[in-house]
Amino acid sequence: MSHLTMMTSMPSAAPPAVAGMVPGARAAALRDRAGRAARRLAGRWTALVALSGAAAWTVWTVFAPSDWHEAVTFLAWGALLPVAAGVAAMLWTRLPRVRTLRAAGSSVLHASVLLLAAGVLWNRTSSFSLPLELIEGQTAALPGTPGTLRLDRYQRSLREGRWSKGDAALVTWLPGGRAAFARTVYANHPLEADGTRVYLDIHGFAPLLAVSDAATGRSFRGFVGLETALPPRVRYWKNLDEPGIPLRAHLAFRPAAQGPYPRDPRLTLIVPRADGGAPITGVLRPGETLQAGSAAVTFEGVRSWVRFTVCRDPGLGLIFTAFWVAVAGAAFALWPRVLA
Amino acid sequence: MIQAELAGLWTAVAAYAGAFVLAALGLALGRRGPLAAALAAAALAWLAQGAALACRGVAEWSPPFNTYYESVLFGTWLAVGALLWLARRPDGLRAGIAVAAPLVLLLLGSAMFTDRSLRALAPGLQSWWLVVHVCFALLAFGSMAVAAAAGALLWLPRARSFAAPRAVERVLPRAFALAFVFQLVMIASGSIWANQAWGRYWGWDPIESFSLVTLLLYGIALHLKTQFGWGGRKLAWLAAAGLLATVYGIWGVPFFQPSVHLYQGPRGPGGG
Repeated sequence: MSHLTMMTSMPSAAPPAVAGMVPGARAAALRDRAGRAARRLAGRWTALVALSGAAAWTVWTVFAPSDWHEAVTFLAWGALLPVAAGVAAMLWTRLPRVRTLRAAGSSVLHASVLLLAAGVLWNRTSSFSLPLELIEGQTAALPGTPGTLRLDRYQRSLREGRWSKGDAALVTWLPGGRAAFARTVYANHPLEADGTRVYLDIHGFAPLLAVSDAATGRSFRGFVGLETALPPRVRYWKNLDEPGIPLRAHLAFRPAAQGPYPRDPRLTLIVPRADGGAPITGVLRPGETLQAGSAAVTFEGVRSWVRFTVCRDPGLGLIFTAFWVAVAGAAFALWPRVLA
Repeated sequence: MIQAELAGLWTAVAAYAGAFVLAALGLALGRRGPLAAALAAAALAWLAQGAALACRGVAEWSPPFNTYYESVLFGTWLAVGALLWLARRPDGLRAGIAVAAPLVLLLLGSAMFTDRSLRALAPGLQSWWLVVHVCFALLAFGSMAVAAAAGALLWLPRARSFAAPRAVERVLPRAFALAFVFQLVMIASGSIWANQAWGRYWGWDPIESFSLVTLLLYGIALHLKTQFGWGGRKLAWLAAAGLLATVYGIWGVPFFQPSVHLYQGPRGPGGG
């Protein structure tokens, strides 16, 4: 029988009344009550129910429809509180009686659950993950930092030593007020900038467009990033949607897939009419313009385009520390069992 | 090098087949001689398989985790090595070779008909965490397989004359403990690597989720053992359930659901 089971099976006296006692005795009586409650909460069934519930919920997330996940995730976070309370109660009752390496390891393992819960909750409330799209030569603000990021060049198949490193983005990070840093971002090598990490996501080519509307006098220049990492026969469509400009277009871009830039790129535009009639279509070469009612769309050229993912996870250090504390605790708790 | 690898592989397959036949004969006739010969054949197969792995490693110059074929080759080699270590004593799990040999043959057979060409390590896999993560995954899987095999011996009536129930009961909780620790290290190293490669430490990917389910199952088993005094056949059932969860996570999930681990479905950041 485990030591904890023996403790919970001992006959217990009735809890003393708290009201009307002197302060020192009252504090002792409250501690005694809390201890009894903790021992009840830290029973052997609590761990079993918590682990079984967590396993069942995890299996459910794999097979359940994705639109139910948010609701059950919310419930699961709510269940985390009593689980953490149970673990804390178990540690409170067990720590004063730790005498062996195995008991210490078990306590450390269970304490890591609290560390992990704290790290995950902290991270959920203050982390972010945002996309950042750039074409070659473009500079944009880097979310989460006071600086900016410039995409200098996109290099296909960076070679380093024996192996190809895959595609890489050569960027310059301008931290604002400090010297600029040139970095290469590729698989397993994100850019670390003031606690923010920049990852290479997807890439392709972006047709550059100039749009002007004679009726409203509005105009803008921009690009539409199209992923072209897949076989060149596949066509990639994306909507162009600029508020205030009465122009919605479907863009398709078929690269020639020769060399770093496509040879002879053709941009296919499909512009729906406001009156629901047959859409206006056109296939443009660089420099050509499509007239769509009062709007004119000029295809100015092609640039390499990259989408980065910018992340900040302040709780990550605590989460990873919890992992390794759990491993150390499990090793010390279970190794004597392996050797016995 | 490729010819040497093939020679080692086919030697291993033949030796495993011989080990299976000898072990089955030994169990059927109730004699220890064929069982000892089966172990010798399994040891020869293990050495030949190790040589095949070494040849491939020299030719490819990368860890053997690039393809399904390499992972199976390395994983079964680890599992058989563990079994041979446990079976070194006369009262050890020698009868387990009758279960392990056909399983290894099936796995090697399934792997040999997949792509065996030499490949450069994909950019997304070029990280030291690959070695840590996959090694501990294989160690965890091996421990689970040993636990399940030991549990299965409790159900085989003939096996009891070769493996004393006490020996099996001694191995079961140890295998559970090792599986739990190795699985924990595998998940921790995988999370750190996922953050380095994809920008998120956990994404509820099906393979990630099933690895967590397996960890929780083994945690439940350890609690049942220490707090409720479970042992013997009850633990054997849990060992089988844990192995099934892992097997589904590795082989079942890719058939039914896209997973970023296989670079299918929604892609994580990293571009690799």
